[in-house]
Amino acid sequence: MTYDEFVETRLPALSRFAMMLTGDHHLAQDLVQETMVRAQLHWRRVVAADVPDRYVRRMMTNLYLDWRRGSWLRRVLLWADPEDSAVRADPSAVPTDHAERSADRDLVWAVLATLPRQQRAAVVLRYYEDLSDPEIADILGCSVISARSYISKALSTLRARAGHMFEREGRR
Amino acid sequence: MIEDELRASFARHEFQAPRVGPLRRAIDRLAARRRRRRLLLRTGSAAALVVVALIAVPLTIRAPSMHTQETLLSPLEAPAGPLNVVLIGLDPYPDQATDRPRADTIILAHLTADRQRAYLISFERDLAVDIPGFGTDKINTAYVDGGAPLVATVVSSLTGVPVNGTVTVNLSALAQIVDTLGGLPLCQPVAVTSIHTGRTFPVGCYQLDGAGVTDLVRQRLGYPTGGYFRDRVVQGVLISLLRKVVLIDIGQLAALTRVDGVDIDLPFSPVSLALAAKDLGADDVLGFGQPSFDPVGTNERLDPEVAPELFAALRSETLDDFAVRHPDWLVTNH
Repeated sequence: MTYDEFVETRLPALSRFAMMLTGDHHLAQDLVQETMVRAQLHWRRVVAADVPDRYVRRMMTNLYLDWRRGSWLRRVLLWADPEDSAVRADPSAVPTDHAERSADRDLVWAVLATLPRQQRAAVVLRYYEDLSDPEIADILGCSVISARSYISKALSTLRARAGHMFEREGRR
Repeated sequence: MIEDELRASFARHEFQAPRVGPLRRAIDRLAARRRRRRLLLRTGSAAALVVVALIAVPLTIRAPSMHTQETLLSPLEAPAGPLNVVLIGLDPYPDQATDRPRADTIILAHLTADRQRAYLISFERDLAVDIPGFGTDKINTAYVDGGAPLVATVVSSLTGVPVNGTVTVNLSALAQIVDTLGGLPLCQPVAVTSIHTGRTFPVGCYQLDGAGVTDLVRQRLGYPTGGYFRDRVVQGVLISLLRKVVLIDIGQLAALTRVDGVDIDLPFSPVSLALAAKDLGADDVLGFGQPSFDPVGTNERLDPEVAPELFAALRSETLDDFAVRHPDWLVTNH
């Protein structure tokens, strides 16, 4: 597979994956760019992987996780406008008793933003990419047990902080 | 049903994903820019080995084309004053899931302000250190936690000298470099049998190929002083490389620039460093390291009396005197 073919077929999905990881349009853009620049420069290594798509996703996930360690994304964060995303808004500021469904919906998204990155990545890989535990562990570079625990911790946080709206509607 | 809500929330935000067209143009533009930069660095990558082994002149003298590169790179001139570069050796396991292995060799290379001397100081892999943001842990995990920059931070706070940059070398790159140079003469003061290949390295001086050198520098458990002795072997390899590169021809130089697995992170051009250190020869390089174990639990610690003296001598560039006072800290097996 050539780099161009890869970009042609995989870039849209990678762009959405970055969006789910970062929760922010601009950060997603930077994350995809940085990942794909590296992929292009090391293309031989990428195609040598068993599943190039998986390899690139792992690169992207690692870059995203590195963010916490204050690497390349820090400068991006310094430029980022905190107003341009609901994600960075304080989730408690979101009106939880709002009659409008969309506000409640955004609450899930807002709580996602408060999760530790490993947990968020695990949840995205499970519920957006629909991957299995071993696949998630492989991408995160952790054990299957850790991957499962990231997911279950994330779910219990989400239940605790955004679960009430479903109860209110009698869905549980 | 939080799971369903999650899926729905993801789906609702798909439309916010960056658009592919502009993204693709931005990627190509960035990649082109970085490729140009990398080309410049690559041309200097044999000179980066210069940094690795602190080998200076011969490359620039023997490769006239580098002088042209040097003008291109002039804005990236190495600063005056002492230079400190952290050399990191990686031995990634083939089946390792994470992208970052532990750093099994960490050496601070110091070039004196007058460029007449270079010093190597090894840090044993199990040394307990404070890793900012990660608490106290073995120094070799700093690379896992934060890559070369975090290793540099740790070494800088241990020694009290500012670190100018890092050079990270993969073990596979070492094999390629040695083979390109046609093998490396080494002197082994203690016999060791490889726990990886079963090969025995007897006492004595002999020539090793890339595979042999790689196998040798991976051995640690076979020595009475373990990692401490291995650090000495690695310093011996660096200094032997340095002697060898003095004699290489342009063909070998060209081959060296193609070696993959050497990652240079310096705020200045390695070529300018090579020029700055052009009077430096292999005999002007002195290596240091703690002689033996000082365990605390499963970790190691630095000698509480001698190590501060070593770092003070580093800061005042009086390591020659330190070597006289503490000959057991001087690496003599090369």
